[in-house]
Amino acid sequence: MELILTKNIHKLNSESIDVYLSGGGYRSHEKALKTMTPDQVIEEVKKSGIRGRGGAGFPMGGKWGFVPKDDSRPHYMVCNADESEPGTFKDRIIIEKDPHLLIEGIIIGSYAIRAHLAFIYIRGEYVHGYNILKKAIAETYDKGFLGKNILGTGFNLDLILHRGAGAYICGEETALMDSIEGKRGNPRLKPPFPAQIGIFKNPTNINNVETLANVPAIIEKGGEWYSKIGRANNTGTKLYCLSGHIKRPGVYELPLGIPLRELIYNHGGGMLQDDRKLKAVIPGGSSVPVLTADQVDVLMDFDSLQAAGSMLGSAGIIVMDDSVCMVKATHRITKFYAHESCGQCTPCREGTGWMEKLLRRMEAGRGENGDTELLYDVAQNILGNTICPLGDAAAMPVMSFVEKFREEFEFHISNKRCMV
Amino acid sequence: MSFSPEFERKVGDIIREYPNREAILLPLLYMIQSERGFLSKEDELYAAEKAGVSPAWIRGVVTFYTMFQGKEIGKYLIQVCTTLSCFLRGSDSILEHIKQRLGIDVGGTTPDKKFTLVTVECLGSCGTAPVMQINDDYYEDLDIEKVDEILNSLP
Amino acid sequence: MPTLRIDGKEVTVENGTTILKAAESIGIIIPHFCYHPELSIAGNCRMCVVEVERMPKLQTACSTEVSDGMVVHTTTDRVVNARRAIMEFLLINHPLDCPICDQAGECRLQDYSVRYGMASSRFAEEKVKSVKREIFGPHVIYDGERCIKCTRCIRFCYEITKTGELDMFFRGDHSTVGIFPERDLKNDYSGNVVDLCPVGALTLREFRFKSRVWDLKKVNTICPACGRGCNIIAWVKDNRIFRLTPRFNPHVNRSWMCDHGRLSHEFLYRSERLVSPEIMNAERRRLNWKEAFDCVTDALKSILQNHGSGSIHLVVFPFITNEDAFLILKVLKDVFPKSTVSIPIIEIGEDDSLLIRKDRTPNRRGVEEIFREVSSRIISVDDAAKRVKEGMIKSLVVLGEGLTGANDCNILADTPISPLEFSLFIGSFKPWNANDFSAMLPASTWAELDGTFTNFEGFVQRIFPSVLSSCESRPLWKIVQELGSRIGTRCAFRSASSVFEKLAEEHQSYRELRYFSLTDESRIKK
Repeated sequence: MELILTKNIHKLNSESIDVYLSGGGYRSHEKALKTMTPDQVIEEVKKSGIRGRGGAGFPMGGKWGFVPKDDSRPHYMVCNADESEPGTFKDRIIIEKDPHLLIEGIIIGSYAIRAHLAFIYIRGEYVHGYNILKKAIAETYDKGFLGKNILGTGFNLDLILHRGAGAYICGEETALMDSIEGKRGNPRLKPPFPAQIGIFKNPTNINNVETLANVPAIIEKGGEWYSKIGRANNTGTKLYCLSGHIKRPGVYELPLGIPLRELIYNHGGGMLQDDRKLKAVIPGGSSVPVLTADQVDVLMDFDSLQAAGSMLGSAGIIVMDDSVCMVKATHRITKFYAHESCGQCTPCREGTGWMEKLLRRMEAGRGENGDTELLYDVAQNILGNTICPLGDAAAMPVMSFVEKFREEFEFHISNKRCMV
Repeated sequence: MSFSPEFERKVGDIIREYPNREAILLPLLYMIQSERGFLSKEDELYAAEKAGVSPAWIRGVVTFYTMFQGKEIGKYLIQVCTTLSCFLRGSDSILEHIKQRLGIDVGGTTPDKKFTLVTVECLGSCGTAPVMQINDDYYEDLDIEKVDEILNSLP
Repeated sequence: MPTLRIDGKEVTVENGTTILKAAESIGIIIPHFCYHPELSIAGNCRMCVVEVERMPKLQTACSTEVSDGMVVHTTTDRVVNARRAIMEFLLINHPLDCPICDQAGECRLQDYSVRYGMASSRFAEEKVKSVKREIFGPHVIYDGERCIKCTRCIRFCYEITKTGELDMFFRGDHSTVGIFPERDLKNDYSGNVVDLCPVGALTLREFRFKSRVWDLKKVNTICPACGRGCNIIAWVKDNRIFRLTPRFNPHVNRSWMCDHGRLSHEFLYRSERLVSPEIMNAERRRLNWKEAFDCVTDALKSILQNHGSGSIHLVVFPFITNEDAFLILKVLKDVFPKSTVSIPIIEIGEDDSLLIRKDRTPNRRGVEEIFREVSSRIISVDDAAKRVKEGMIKSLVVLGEGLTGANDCNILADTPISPLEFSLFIGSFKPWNANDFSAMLPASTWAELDGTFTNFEGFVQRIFPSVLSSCESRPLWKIVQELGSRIGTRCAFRSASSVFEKLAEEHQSYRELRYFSLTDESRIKK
């Protein structure tokens, strides 16, 4: 299989512009700017069928198409590098190992949506990645690929590297926009959508790092070529993040639609401890519904996982063996969302904290009859009732863990200890 | 407490870089924090004036983001990730070890002001769990010996 | 214009109307906390969710714009269950101590609990601790545990006063409304955040724990503290005003009032009231009204006889009502045809961009409009003082000073009163130079009256008696009418409304206005 996103990462000094150029880098942005109109670029991306890699899986071409064409306001392109979903560490590899692949994608995307200012919003903790990107951006300006009159085409683009400061919620695109504007990262009500009213009230497009890093290849080889990778409606390669109880954790670039079993047992080398059995897998970052061991034949793509009652999300695959107490695992996940809730809307602010306390009490052996139902009910009351997806992200894992491992919760309540 | 002309020049640079005055806030707070170590009330007022927002706005922002420090902390800020992937790979014992070794609880600072210990939610390094961050640097694939080695090496 | 159905009722509204407003227009009230018509839409409380056909999720009615053919349900089980869930969430960390909460009686949590509340709490955990009794400013106190984080107060300070004193601090369930250390919430409108607060988190320092709201009688009236004439409610118990709150009028004050006006009832209880007619001959004596009228009429008649009406000067403070002014005009026309008049200017600071007028009198526009007929006789207070000193003015009649209790203006400090042959004061509170006046007649205060004020933009607004006079005072126009008729005018009005009807009949600007059918939009003609 031809690698798209990780083809350069093993090269020495892969992060330098010279290494990137010698591997054929920045040819796509030249092709786009010199030989294609913005609409042609969008068409090509639409043809590729690529869906956003940030979690929601919305088609990227369609998203670009939403940015108004005849609008005198400035347009902005934003790269969402606020990777913070537990179990996810794929964007970091692009940022640290192949920053120019990302920057090239950003330049092409900005051209397509007629933006002259772009932002990379990188999570504050990625200091190393920040420094690498900072250097890479400076190199790109030096080569004349950013700034005024790029490659003599008359296209201008500035790129600002903006650091987040420790808030998972800023990965949500409207919270991210508020954060760029110097505010608390509170998600906004939608509509209006960013394409109409985004940063500084101007049309804005936001794409995830991995999504944008696909763009140079799509432009170079064509949308049709890309659309043949993976499965119908789930095209392209995907960076899968394997973590947890697995022998070879890490990031794997493989086509969409690869069976989860193959990922875990072939690529990941199987369970960390040979005498342990697979118990549960979270396939798309901690916010998606958990899968049980007998669901491990599911194909890893948007549609197949949805059919299986879960989601591809960020493809952060967290593997748990049979030593893990599901109450404790649920508590850890819930603690994360309670800590990261912005606190703006009622169900998420109050509900995540409530679930966390309830689970803590159950975990500590002070659970009472009815607590499992109560927990499930609280999660259900959050689900679908919040401003942004964080509410669902907190509710879905809780509900799925209770649904699939109810006996462990009940055991915990009646025996005041873990079942495992 | 004022800032150097060099510092003020850099503030001018970011003001020019951003299309909107308020948007300089996060980079500005980072600049101040790296100069001062933490954000005092006076620093917040300075930031409010520079970004053209109210002091309450600044306090709202500073208390929202976990990476802004509202009070003095140790020379080394140890942040141990305890989210699911790190938990599965033993972060609890790493945290327990550091607590015992430094004789402080989570949120505490050693009496010599060398270390402050906190837990942190997912650092995006799950493939190399367990992980901790000390100031700007990640330390990955941790075990107890490795933690000792790292802490011993810090001047 | 889209047409939609809400709970089976069809309604057609303007493009861009929200479901909440469309529903309101046909009498369907959707519960809400964070939404306020004057503030930006936050959509954070989630109480107003409704079911919209063909939309999978429940939608917040406050933020969702209607579209043609939309079908909305506001009372389905799904909606009711969602609201019940929101109420439960709001209450888990909320102290359940309504009996000692000052908001009781006007708390939305209480109100909605009746419909959406649960009989008992399912929350067995420890509640989040937050700040109690944090002093935000001279008028406002905050209780973080009662706060439901609707951000109305924060939005008010950013969007209406543009002062930004408040913001949300921390995050998640530790979020709390905060103010920067050692800063105060002391903009000129800070009291409005208390009205805005749908729960007991923000309370007014001057009112908290003074009275249960259900013990208070509400009287719609007009704020007397400046030329704006904000529409307000006076809250009354035991014949005393306990607080003033704004009342919505889209043309005058929208939903707000300033802190100065909000506390203006306190002025009424600060100065010494003139409780009965007083005459100064050899010594100060209290008289009954009949004796007083006799005495004052004799004195005025004698001045008229000896020096003519040109020797009498009237100082008319624009604290008086239009009805008062109309009777004064009658006297000026009928029995004091050569008398001069001053209308003192009482200004503090500058007009602001929201409500406050530097003119701190409630009825300058009305008085000036009514006195236009005699405008050639209006002179400044300084000129009047000069004429007093030159001996041209032998007698001074001061009317309406401090009817609102704002009695510290010292306008007449440079006007020597004691050398005059006769000086008459008609007002509610004893002026600083009370001992200089030959006679003083007690007028009713703004809070005790029927009548109208005309605001600086010409809106004619009714005031209503909130309290009964606790002394022998009478409405100023009745005193003037009695004196006038004893000297020679012929009028016998029995009520403020009948005075107003006559005013509307005689005065071009007030034509077509009817006392009992004044609306938010009633204003004088240019």
